[in-house]
Amino acid sequence: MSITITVNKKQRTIESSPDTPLLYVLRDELGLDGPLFGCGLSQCGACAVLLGKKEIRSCVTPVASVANLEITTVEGLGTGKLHPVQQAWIDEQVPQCGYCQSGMLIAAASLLERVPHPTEAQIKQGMNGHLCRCGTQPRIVKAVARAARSMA
Amino acid sequence: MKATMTRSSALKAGGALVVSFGIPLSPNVAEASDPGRPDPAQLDSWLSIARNGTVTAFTGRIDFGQRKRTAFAQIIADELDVPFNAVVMVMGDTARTVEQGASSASDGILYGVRPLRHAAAEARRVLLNLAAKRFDVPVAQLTVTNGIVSAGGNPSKSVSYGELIGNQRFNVILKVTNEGAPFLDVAGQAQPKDPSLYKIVGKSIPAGEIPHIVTATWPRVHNVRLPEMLHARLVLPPNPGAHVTKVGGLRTPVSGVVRVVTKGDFVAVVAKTEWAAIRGAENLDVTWTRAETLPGDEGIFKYLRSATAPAQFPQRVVKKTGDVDAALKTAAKTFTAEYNYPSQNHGMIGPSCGVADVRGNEATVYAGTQDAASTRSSIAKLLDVPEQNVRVLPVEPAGCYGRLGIDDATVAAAYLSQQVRKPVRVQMMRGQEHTWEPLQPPSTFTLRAGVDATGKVIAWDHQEWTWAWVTDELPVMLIPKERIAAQMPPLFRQPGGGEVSAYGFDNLRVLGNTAPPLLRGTAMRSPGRIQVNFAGEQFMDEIAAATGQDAIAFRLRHGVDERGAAVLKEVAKISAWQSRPSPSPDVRSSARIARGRGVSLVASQRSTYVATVAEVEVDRRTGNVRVTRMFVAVDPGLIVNPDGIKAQIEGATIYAVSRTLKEEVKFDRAKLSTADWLTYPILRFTEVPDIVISLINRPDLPPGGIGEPPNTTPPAAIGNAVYDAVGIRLRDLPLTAARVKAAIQTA
Repeated sequence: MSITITVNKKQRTIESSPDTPLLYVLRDELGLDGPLFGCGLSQCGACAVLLGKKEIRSCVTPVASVANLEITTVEGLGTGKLHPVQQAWIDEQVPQCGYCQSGMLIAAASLLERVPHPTEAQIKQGMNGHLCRCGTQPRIVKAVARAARSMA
Repeated sequence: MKATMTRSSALKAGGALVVSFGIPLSPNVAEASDPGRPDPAQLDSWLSIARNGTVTAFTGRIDFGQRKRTAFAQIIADELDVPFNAVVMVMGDTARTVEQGASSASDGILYGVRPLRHAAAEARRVLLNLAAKRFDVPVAQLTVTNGIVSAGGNPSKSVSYGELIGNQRFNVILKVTNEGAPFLDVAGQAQPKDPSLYKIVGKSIPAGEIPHIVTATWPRVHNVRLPEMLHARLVLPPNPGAHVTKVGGLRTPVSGVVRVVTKGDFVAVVAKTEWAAIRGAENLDVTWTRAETLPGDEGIFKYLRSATAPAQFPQRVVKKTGDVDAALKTAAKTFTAEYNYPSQNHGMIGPSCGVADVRGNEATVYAGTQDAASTRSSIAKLLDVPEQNVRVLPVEPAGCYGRLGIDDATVAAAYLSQQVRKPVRVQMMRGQEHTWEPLQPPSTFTLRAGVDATGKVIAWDHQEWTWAWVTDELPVMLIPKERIAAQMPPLFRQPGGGEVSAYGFDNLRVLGNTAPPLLRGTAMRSPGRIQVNFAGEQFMDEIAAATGQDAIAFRLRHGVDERGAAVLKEVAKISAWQSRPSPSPDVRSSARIARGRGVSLVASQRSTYVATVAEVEVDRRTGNVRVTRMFVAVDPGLIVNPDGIKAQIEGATIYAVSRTLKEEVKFDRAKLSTADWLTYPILRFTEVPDIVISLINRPDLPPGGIGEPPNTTPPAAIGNAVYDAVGIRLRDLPLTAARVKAAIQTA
């Protein structure tokens, strides 16, 4: 029996086996570039996507477990224009290599859904499950605060 | 990134960037001396100008997040007098760019852009001559604004660069003034501009790639997808030194597996999908010999000190001035200490990945490499095809900070593609990346010094033991035994011995000892320098503290040059440094949290000077060290892009705080146990300090490197701050809570 998921507002019928982690479905079957393989262990956040409005790690999420649910990747974050977190990332010149940044943007969007006006401590705590090796954390903290202001 | 990669896909957004694969090759290729690569002596190899005025600049150097693309374009735009947005960079493509060596060692802005700066100056001269001829006026009467040449302010006498040369060759020969890939330079008749005339250099031009990164449209080697591409995973040995005894079949069937490829100890599973490759590799029945080749991490420094040096790397006298032994005998007081810097992991967030398409005796390789030329040469050797038949297209990997497993993945992809006759993508799994990437080797130091009656150092004796780098780019399992060539650690090759050279010691001896490598070792951000600074700058602090002198004043009395003195004074100012000896007056307080500050200096690393002050809080009960603030004063020579420089300083500082507090590769006799982010933790958001930066611009000096120098100073600055806080000197990294707690309890 085939699985149907909604990805970036489009309904997709999935051919991959049900145990396939969502990450590989998004990347290899649907051709999306945003979620990236970082660890396959839910430790780093490079593969993060939204399930509804909540962040999940697609590398450890079997596609069958999100059947008939709504997934958003960084490609679908903005609707017609950039999402405020994406604009804030540009304004604060956040990324260096950028590998972790799709996951960071997803985490930031999810955080601002839960906590629209986070303090600096809440931002750091909210983003703490995501790793960045380039050291963009100070700019991410500023960018999340900026996005929160722009969404107010 | 779709298969359309094979067609031209020029992206342009807010500035100078281009992503272009499959654009026709530069016309100079046939003339090149380096097989298949453009000739550096041709101006056309560096620059071309289209009819619409677009300037395409070709460099052998690569950018992977350091904003070189932007900084290089700023310099070229200023030299040519064109708008920043008119410049498009082509970086690293072995078929279209001059060989300029590896993009490493923080020398992109110092050496990488230098020939382009000179080529652009020459191009401007040639263009002005063309315009002078056209208008029949002397060159001196011409002005250039935004790529439009005007004669004497007469609007009827103006012509664009595009009209003058658009799509045509310059056909101008440059003099190659500096041979040797990393330092390659060229000169024409024109001199580059006086930097005081630069208008775009010095501005914080936003990085053109960022709008693409935040929408996941920036090319990345992990996202290269070719038609009919297969996926592969490697099956790596369970222990270093283990060999394959038997490769059986899949323990459980995995749909989609195409082939199992084995060659000696190299084992890989090729499949139609990535998930099938992963499942196939997990399920492949491979038997390995048991190997116990390691001394265990506890024994590593003893091993370094006791190992017999390889015949090709005897003990090296890196620097010798005066007579250290005689001076030590006359010293009023002598000091000695041992420091240990552990092996560390690059910790690339995206595990190594490479994509290759080998057809017959031709190969196209998409590589996250820092050194396309050596990747190309490795692949040519392995595939047994002529080097000019291999085209390496650098595509951004994840930030890598040293040569690492990315080259293994690329070369493995090429080999597998040759075997299965289809394009192949290889990516490492997290545990493979952590345990098989070439690691930064461990180092151990013995330092001795003597001071006179005034507390001035009169003799400094520095000795380091580390192990050699392995430079072969083949995946470790594909390297024939006889090719496991080791390279001398970099600092031992340099005169001056690193940070010791910041000070004008009259009697100085720097010795380097090289042990045979037990694990594959290579460069990691600030290779050699961070270790020497960690030991030397803490030892300076030990002497200052023992003789009751303020750490900054103590450094300033030891022959620091003017630029070194300036960054020290600047960091003292921005950190509100109070002149006093360490430890802090509160060191005997019974409060749970002890606070301290510490300083470190790096002088002339890639022409850049950095002084860093760390502020720490030490929890006396748990031993936890929290770095609260880092103050960084930097003199990077000519400042090209202040915000780009600040981004690098922030990143380099955080990276080094992480190395100082957390990072150590652990192993027993058989294998590495640091195999993921739980066993090899790195700094997290809540642990990142506030960073205060001050830049000192030196327009009269060349732009210096910035990715590495601010990464050099934090370990010593933090170590000195911990001493300042609790009065205990920790001479081993990382400064984990357990280590600090144990030191406090035994003090």
